[in-house]
Amino acid sequence: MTVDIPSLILAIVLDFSVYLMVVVSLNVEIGLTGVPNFGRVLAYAGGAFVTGAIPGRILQLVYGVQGDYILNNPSVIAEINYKLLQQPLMALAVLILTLILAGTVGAALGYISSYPALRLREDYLGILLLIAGTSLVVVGITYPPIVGGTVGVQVPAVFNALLGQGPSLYYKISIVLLSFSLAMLILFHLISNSPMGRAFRAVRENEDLVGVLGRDIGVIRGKAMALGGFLAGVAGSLYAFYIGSVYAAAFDNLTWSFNPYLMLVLGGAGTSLGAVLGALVYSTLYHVIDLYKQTLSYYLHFDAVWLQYMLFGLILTLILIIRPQGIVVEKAKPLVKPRSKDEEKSTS
Amino acid sequence: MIDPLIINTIVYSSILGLSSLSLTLTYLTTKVPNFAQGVFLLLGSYVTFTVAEVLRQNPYLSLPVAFLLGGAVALIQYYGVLLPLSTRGGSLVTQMVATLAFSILLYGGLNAYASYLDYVYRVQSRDVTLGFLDYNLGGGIRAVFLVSTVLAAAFILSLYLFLNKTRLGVSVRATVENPSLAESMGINTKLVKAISWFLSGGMASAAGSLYPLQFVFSPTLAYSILLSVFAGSVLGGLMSLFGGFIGGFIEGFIEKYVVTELSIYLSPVIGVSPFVINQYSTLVPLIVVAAVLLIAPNGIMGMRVKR
Amino acid sequence: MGLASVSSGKILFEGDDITKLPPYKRSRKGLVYVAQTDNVFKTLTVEENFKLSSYDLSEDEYKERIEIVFTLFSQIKDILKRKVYQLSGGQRQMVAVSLALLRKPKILLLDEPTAQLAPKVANEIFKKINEIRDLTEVGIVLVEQNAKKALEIADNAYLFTSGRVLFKGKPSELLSNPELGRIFLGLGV
Repeated sequence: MTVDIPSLILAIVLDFSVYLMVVVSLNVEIGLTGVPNFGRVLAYAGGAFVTGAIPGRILQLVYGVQGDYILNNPSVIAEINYKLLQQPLMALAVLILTLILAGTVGAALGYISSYPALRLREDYLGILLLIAGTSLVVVGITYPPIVGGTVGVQVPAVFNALLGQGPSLYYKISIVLLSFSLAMLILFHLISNSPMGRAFRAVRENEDLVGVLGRDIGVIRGKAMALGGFLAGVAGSLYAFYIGSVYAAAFDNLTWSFNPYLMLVLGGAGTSLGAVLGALVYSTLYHVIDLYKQTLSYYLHFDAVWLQYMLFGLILTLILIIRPQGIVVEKAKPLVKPRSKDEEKSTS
Repeated sequence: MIDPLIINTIVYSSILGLSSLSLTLTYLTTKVPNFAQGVFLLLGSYVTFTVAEVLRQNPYLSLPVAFLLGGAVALIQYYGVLLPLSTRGGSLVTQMVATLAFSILLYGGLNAYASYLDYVYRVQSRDVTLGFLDYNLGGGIRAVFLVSTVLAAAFILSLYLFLNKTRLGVSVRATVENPSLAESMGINTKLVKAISWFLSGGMASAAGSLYPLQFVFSPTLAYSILLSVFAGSVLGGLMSLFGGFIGGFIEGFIEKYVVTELSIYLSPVIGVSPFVINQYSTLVPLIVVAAVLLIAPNGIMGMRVKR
Repeated sequence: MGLASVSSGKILFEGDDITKLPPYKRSRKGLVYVAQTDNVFKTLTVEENFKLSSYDLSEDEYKERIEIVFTLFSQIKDILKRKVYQLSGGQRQMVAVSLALLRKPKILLLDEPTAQLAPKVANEIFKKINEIRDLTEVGIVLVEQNAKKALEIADNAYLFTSGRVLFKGKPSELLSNPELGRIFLGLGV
């Protein structure tokens, strides 16, 4: 059986970049600040819903397209795309504006979630964030005017307009997504080494001490969750543009809260490399199994996708027992630079 | 003729009450909220499904099987995951994540099983209900209504007797209150914790085994009902087992009965069909947890004057 | 006791190596620990605490041990039905020590029993410790900050710093050695 390597790599890269962005957003909250956010999907869906609800409606207004955005969505979007494909600059503007809006909404959602974070113990906090995660999605499913309820909406084909139709479209999209995820990684690295990052880590290590030293833990946590929410919102928006549609029910806790959390734990929370490894392992595992799906399912007598779940769960369970910090262990970063060897000798 | 809404509510609330009770049990003894609690429920559902659809036996035979199987899997989770992790000094959040990881493993396994049933036995194993296999008792009541309430009462009574009248049960209470003191008093707290996990997994699976007899179920139940189970425990207060049951029962009552009645009253007022309003019952766990944490963080049972 | 981890060395009890033994097994062997705080089940009554502690004793053994407790602490008879959280600090310590005595200990580990107690009450405790020693022939390992008083009633004395034994011998030697006094106070090593 010939294996289509380029397609496999493309599939892995696409998934990898999407998940990497989510994992990096989690890394700010979990990895740096120690907030157990089991409800990541909130900000992520927020960004996606913004993308499903806003750009299409704006373009509809701009182009004067008739029809109800939700009820006649397919035809409305079709008309929009027809015009949009000839105006790449408009597409670029729409993309940038939507990303900013999505990021802002994500940040707001993250910030609101931080409100109970100050007063709750980690177990209660984890539970609350978990339950709050899908609240927005429930509304999205039940209230059609946002993103089409159980039918969903299509999203203006911004990537097609910018990158051109044709067989290499998804390769180009993968490069775009990779670039964004790389940018987020760099941003994470900068944050991590900044004073704000040090404040985050201080809260993670010993929040009482931070309070005693006069910093407001609530403010710090709020910043962390707003930042994480921002990244997640942008990621969700990019995802919606990449998929070309927003279907509320697809934003479930398992796919967008739990699995990314576990990816981060696997790779190693707190480090950029850890985030990359976690997302990479997951995406590779998924697509390799998917590649041999037919054969595997034949021999297993069940759909091979569940094998991936079981393996992932097993790997995570084992890693947590054997090496709970993850594959890449965060090196302790002293707040003060160590004195040089000569200085040390003369004082002791 | 009893209102089907009442029947639905009571069955669901009994199941949820037992589930929240089981979650509170392991929380009290090992301090960890078990993210896999919903998967235990699912496990029970698939035991019933297997017994009824594959083996074509009386569906209620699944009760003891589900209990034992759930208990066994819970023991695996305790000895294989939680205990090694806590001995190595894993933090609370790490332990929570470990229960999450284990839940994914189990979830994949159960889905694989459902898929297997489909492949090999050509049996539809998702979005199914077994209500039609139940026994009709007249007046619109099916056997599951009785069984769920009796089971809940039986578990609560047995737990009460166990915890207050038996040596082992009193050891459980001691371990919950002060584990190191209990150890000093010669109580094997590791065994106590293992037993609590066995009971927790067993009860959740037993409760879950009744679910398909009243409702439609599918693997996603594992994570959707988890929110309600947590909400029920938080509502009860995560401080007493009885509170766990009460919290879960009330949570179920709100989700089914209150939301439905509300939807009938609100429908003409806001011009939305009751069916749509009912869909929002998935927001109840969040509202309940938020309300509890704001108003009475120690839940219903914690509202008594603290010494 | 096994509640903290061992970094090096072995623990021998009556000739057996118990280093790896879990705490509850050590308790059952006769090595009983009374913690400094949190040493009683607050939400239970005194009687329930006693029942818990002695749950692996037979009826007769329990009667025998409870007599010893009553002899030492006569007031306990009056507070049997009271919930522990209602008791004073001194009374709680009495209950805590009684819990340990009920387990037929061969060695009693007392961890700073007089900490957080008023001096008068502390003196009572030291008197009681003597009585326990005389009445039950149990070996007592007493960890105390109140060194002077402790040394007055002890048969043997040990001085620890950072987990190492710096001195072992007769209390009188320890009391009369100013160097060791400085070490005890943390003034140089």
